[in-house]
Amino acid sequence: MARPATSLLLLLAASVAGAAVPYAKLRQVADRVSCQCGCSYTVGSCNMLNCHFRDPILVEIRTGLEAGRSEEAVLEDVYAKHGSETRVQPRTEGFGMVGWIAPFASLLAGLGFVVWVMRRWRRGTEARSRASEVPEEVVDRYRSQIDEDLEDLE
Amino acid sequence: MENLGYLAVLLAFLLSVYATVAALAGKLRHNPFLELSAQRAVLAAWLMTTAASGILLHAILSDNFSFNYVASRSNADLDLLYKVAAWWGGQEGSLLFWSWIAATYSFVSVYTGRSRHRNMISYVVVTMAGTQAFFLGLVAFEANPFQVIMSGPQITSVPDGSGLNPLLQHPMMAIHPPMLYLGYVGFTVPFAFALASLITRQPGERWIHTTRVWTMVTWLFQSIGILLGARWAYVVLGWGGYWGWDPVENASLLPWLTGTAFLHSVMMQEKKGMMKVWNIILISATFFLCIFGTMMTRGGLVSSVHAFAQSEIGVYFVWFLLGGIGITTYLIVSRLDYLRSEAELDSVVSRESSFLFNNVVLLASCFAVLWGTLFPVMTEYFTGDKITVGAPFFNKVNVPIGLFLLFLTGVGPLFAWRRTSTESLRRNFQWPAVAGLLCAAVLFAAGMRHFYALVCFGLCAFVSVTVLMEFYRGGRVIQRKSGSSLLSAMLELTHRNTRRYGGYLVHMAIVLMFVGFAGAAFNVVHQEEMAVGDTIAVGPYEFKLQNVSEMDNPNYFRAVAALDVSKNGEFVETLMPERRFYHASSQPTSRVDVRNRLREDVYVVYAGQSNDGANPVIQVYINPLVNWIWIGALVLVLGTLVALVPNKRRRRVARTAAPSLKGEPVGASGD
Repeated sequence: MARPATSLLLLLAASVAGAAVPYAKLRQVADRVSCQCGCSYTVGSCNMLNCHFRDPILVEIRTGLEAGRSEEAVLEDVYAKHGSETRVQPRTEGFGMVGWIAPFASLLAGLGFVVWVMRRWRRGTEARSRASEVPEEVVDRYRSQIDEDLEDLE
Repeated sequence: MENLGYLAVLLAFLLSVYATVAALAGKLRHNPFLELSAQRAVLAAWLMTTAASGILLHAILSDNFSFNYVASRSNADLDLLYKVAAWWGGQEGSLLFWSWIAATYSFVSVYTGRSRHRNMISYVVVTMAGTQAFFLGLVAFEANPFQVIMSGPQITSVPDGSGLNPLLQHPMMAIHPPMLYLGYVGFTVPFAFALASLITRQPGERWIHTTRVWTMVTWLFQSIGILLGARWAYVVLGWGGYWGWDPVENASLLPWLTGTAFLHSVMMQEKKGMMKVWNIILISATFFLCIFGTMMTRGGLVSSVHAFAQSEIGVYFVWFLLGGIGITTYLIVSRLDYLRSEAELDSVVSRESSFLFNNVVLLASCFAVLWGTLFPVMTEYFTGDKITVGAPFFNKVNVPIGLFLLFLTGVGPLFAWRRTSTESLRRNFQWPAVAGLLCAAVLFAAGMRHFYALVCFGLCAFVSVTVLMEFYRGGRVIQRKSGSSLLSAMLELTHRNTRRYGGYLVHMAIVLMFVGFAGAAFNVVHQEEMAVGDTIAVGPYEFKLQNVSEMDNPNYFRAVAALDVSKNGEFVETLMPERRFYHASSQPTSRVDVRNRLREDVYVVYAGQSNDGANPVIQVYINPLVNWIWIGALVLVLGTLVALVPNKRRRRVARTAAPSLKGEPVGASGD
């Protein structure tokens, strides 16, 4: 390592956002583009030095925003130019919709299953209760007492 | 040494295979000598794995650069701590480390459980030694850490190694992987006991009692591992966040979610003999998700910033998973009669039903994370399109599910077992609901308009009051009886039922973490190129670049920016973010500097250099409330440790009298 400082400076060279677009705005849009340098982060979050992928896209986004274009329009251009893998979330159409629906559908299906199981269990409990020789109010009284005792025993 | 190391690995592999086969054959042929020899083979396999690990560690610590693994993962000037961390810093070493932990768990669980579980211990050996054999087989035949550098027929050595990945050279990274591995591997123990219990149709719930401590300790390791990883990402990766929904991060979360569901639902089986099939499925899913997580980290299924050691071993994991899931499914289906529930639900409004809902939501969250992680693979398979699924998707999907879960965290303890009366509901919900609504209303009146943040803070207040009320009510009862202070009464209460009140402390920890998560809605970020003497304002803070200094040492070169931070015109602190350049690996990294406060973090990154190389580019983040996540982590550890402490005393006689048909108690015995 002849001159570490020089090497570091060369490695550290990175583009800096222009003043016209606030950094927070640039970051917000860039966080909707997936960086493809291998960092697994968004273009906004990638902190790779001299990233060959991040720096040109930041320039594209900044230029688009400075030209007064909407965030969505700028992003669609980036996705069209750099490929669908730069999207950070599935589309809201076609197969992408499956991606959005499935998690919530699974939650609803799970809740539905629990309700079904509980109804089934309840039917069994009620049937046994009807068949019991012991009056329901007596059973209830003792159940309450058992519950209180169980709470103490826990 | 390399031959001895490899020999130890081979022997450990053969002994594990022998233990698996001998335990199974011994059980099936009713041959106790074979069963005993299988148990001894477990001990011998542990000794061999320990020897192999010791040889590798010795090679790393003594800078033996004739070992290919040492030359590629360490270097002479590496700190001692990171030399030890190099053991698990690469593919081959980490698989050996995995195997050593598995062998240790096998040895300890078999030798502590063989007397109590004479009937089923051989099946425990089959599962544990079989899993261990799989990993040792990978070490022996696919990822040998004892390969040496050859020059023709001669073993040669390089003058210095290329060093450990700079991102791993952080104290937290020295602790995070072992914790996570202890969690991943540890779930093998309850899984092995569950399967053994299923195969032998053990009466009662003995496997649950036996593995309760194992499960909780393992869950604790997994939790610590995940949280250390988050903290490491926060202070090392330099993008201002702690959780990027990276595939490897997700892989660690998946078994944690199912493991958490298991810890809850297993109480139903202990107390009521219910949900037996469900619990077997949950512990099996947790184990297989641990294997799946290891495959994601090591097998190259998906790309990740954390995949420090990927190779093409994924196909072996796929076969192991398919085989394991197939056998487990067969065992469950063929023994459904044994798993029949002993009780049924009395009321929808009960603790039991809240556990069911809690389980469903935890599993839905697990599915959402798994789905998002694998969706790029599925999209490419079905449509040919390559897409990435990142934080925006996971946040949109998981935030509402997480808030629902937080709500259930508060609701669960308010319900009684079996059924809850309307009066009890009103009494229990009154104050928590008032606290939650009041909190949200005050924040709204103060100007907060972020919907999820408002809901989150409201629910945090709701759950907090629920937990505090549980301590207060129980404490008051003891206080009335003993006359002690309320605080000591609450300590006494906790000591009498450590599992329950330790669990409430863990719930409180989750609340604190959610407070930290909600703070992310108000993060502020700014980036600017700064010359010495320049000042920038971000939020209420001003940052003045005082100087940039450069230093060099044998391991790395670093540039440090000194920024004076002032708030409302008053100097508060000098922050010193730095960039490092590691000589051995020729890789740069950042070291952020953070001003930690309960209200907010001021997080500064030396992000890069201006195009002309003259000035540093500084990124500033103001991250509100983020410290509550780490405080929550400490409370979570405390709560789990409390839950692991044995209860102070156990009542042997219940006050409940036997019911008479006339409605009068036959007699009451008390204590």
